[in-house]
Amino acid sequence: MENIIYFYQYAIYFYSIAITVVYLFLMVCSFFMIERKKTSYSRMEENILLKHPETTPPISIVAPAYNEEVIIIENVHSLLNLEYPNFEVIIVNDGSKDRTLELLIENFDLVETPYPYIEKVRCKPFKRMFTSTNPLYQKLRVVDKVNGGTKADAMNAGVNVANYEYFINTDVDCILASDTLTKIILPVLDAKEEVIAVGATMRMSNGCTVENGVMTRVAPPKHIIPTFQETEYLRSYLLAKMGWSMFNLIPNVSGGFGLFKTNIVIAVGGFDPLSHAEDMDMTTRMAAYMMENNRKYRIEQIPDTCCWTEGPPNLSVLHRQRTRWGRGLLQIFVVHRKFLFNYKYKKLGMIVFPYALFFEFLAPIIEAVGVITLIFLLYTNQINFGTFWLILLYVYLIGVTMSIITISYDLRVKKRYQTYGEYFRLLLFSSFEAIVYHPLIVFFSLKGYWQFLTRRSFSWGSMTRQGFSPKPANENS
Amino acid sequence: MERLNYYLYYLDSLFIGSPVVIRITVFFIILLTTIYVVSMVRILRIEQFRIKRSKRAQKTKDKFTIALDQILLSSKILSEEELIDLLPPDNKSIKKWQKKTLSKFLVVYKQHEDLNIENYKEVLNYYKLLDFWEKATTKGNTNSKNNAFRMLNRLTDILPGSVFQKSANVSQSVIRKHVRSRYVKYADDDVFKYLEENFDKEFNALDAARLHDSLMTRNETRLLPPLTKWIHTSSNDKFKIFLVREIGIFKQFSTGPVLLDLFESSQNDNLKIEIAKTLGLLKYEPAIDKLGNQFFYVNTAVQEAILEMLGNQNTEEAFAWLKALYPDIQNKQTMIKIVENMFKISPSETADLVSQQSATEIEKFTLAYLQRL
Repeated sequence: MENIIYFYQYAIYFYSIAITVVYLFLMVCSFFMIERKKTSYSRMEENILLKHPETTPPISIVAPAYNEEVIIIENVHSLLNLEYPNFEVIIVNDGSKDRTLELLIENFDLVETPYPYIEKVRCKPFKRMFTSTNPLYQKLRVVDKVNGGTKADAMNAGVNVANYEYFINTDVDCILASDTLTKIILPVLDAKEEVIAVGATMRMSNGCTVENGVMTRVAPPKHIIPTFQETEYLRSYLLAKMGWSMFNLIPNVSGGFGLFKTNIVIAVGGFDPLSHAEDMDMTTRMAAYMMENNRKYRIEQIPDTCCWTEGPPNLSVLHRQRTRWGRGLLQIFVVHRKFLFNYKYKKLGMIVFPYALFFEFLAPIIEAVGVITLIFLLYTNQINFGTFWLILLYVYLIGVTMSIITISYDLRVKKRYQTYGEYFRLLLFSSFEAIVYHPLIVFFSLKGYWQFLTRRSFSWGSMTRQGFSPKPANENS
Repeated sequence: MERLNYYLYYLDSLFIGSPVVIRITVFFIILLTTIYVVSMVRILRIEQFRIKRSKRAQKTKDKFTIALDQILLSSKILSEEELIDLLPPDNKSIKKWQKKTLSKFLVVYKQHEDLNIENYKEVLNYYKLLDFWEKATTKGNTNSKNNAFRMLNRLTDILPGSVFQKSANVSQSVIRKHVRSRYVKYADDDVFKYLEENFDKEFNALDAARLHDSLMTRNETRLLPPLTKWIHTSSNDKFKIFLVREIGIFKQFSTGPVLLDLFESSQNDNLKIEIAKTLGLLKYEPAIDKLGNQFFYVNTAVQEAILEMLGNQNTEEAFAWLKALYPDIQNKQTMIKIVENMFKISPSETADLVSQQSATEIEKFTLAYLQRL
């Protein structure tokens, strides 16, 4: 028993050293990648795309909607007002039971239009297509379909009707920046190899001011849970994914916002409705497809904030989100286990998957076992408190240092918040993340793993919408 | 340095005899703390720099706005003496940061519809702003050089090509390709020299966008020569595809025969697709038979490009070809394309054809969709 605990202590110690080394390495890589992107692309390149629609690649925007009457109209206005010459907006009404479809029809002058629907990727039956009689909304199409129970199924319906070579996968709770499309297409144009997906930075919209679908004031969230999540998201995008993009090793293009190549998504069979992490599942399958067909590819990441999403406002919604992510992550390793340590899949098999296994999947398990071991050692008076506080300080510093690096990178990309006080608020919260927020994430992740292993049936779950724009005081009087 | 060494040795001495694990932990604590402090300083420096830049911009604005409004928005062309009278006194040799800020203001004025271009040029000459930015293209890091080229491009539509010559062959592809595309826009001598050299070994779609912008500007003053000249000399298929597309955009009708020959000789499907689309835009009628005959010997993507070409031809002959191909198509997506292109030429005949044939739901829905639109 003593040997096991002795061995475990050293294993967990060197595990934390490995995480530190990896994150420091990513920190350096992401620094250079951010500088590279800032050198290569500027407003001038974006203006060239805006000035010459004849050469600007068209993009489809696909956004599924299920019971989104609170925010659907603002969101669609936001999408239709993007600054880009050639794009279409496809809203997939996934069998909503509320007034989502009725509101769309009323607000955008939609009429049912006969449509030659081809099911290129599997999804629940298509019912109707709506287009607008108003020239202002000519870019909008609304697909009405039978509810599929998951976002993936709804996305597949959107992919089936997308007209263009690339499409944006986004959610209706997301607000996109007006220059999103010009920014996200630049790495596609500037690549030597075929770009199959592009990710960008996402932030929380919870504290922001949105008027008629336009982001007018960016601010960090006011409530505790989304504030922690803001820094967490920024770390993931600006530190991890930007660093991985240097070596074409991005493990996942977020399902909340990402650009994908349509024919590759179709070739791999579309999004998997059974997956709880359909974004990572899609990224993995696309990369594997390219390798199986000996085609060179790139998955890119840009540091710019292109998308704001409504984050879980309370513990209950956070719990639902993180248990789903936990189920999804374990599911990835079960469904795609053939890639793990498989040299035929090159970087995917030998680096991306092992990294995700050891440092993403196993991390909550190791942390939980570590806490249990610590309690045992405390109980049996086996703790050397000098060493204990030293190592605790070290572990604490990993988190806060990565957070402050992330915030400095975010400022380098663009100052989004109006005051520095707002940035320091994020820093302050990151000081408490290890004590308040992170244990919750560990617990929810473990619960997600357990749920997957015990095969409980669960639905996607609903997101409690707050809406974007503050309601006027006398609206309900 | 000696002091630093002293403290490092002192620190080392505190942990002599400690296990390796402790020493490693202390090392990482120091490293992470240092990074934390450096990042904090960086954040503060970024803010300090932003405040400084903002104050400088305000200072420059306060100093120059009234004068620039009077000069640049004036309907009268001013002489140098009149210019000097209006500009703030003792300002011929302004500081670097003022030149940078002033340049940004001038870029904004340049978009103004009432801009007096001659006065604008005089202001640029008076403060030697173009010389300043030209020098900046040879100094500093890649980012600053690239930004200097961008600023030159934004400030003026007239620059000697020699400004770009030094940087047109540098190893940093970001600068090299940017400069070459701008050279096409600005050069007086040997304008198309880089088009003859495949433009660049790393030619991609972003270069195509920039080059297109330069060619559009050049085409405004004088028509471009037939771009087929460079298709033949090029060994880069991506560059050939770009040139073919440009031929369609610039409506170079005389290039039809060359493109048709290229379609037959090329093995590259993407090039064939672009040629087919371009022949349709040029409405080159001999392509109808030639490409129509090749329809069943090419892949689906090329087939769809041929259908698009036929639709854009908008002739009875093209419609006849589409009608002839129609019964033999199994692929639903291709079927939709055929109906779409027939509808482009003759909506009524298409409606008759679809209703007479035992059309599938796809064809009927396609027709209904097109009629609705």
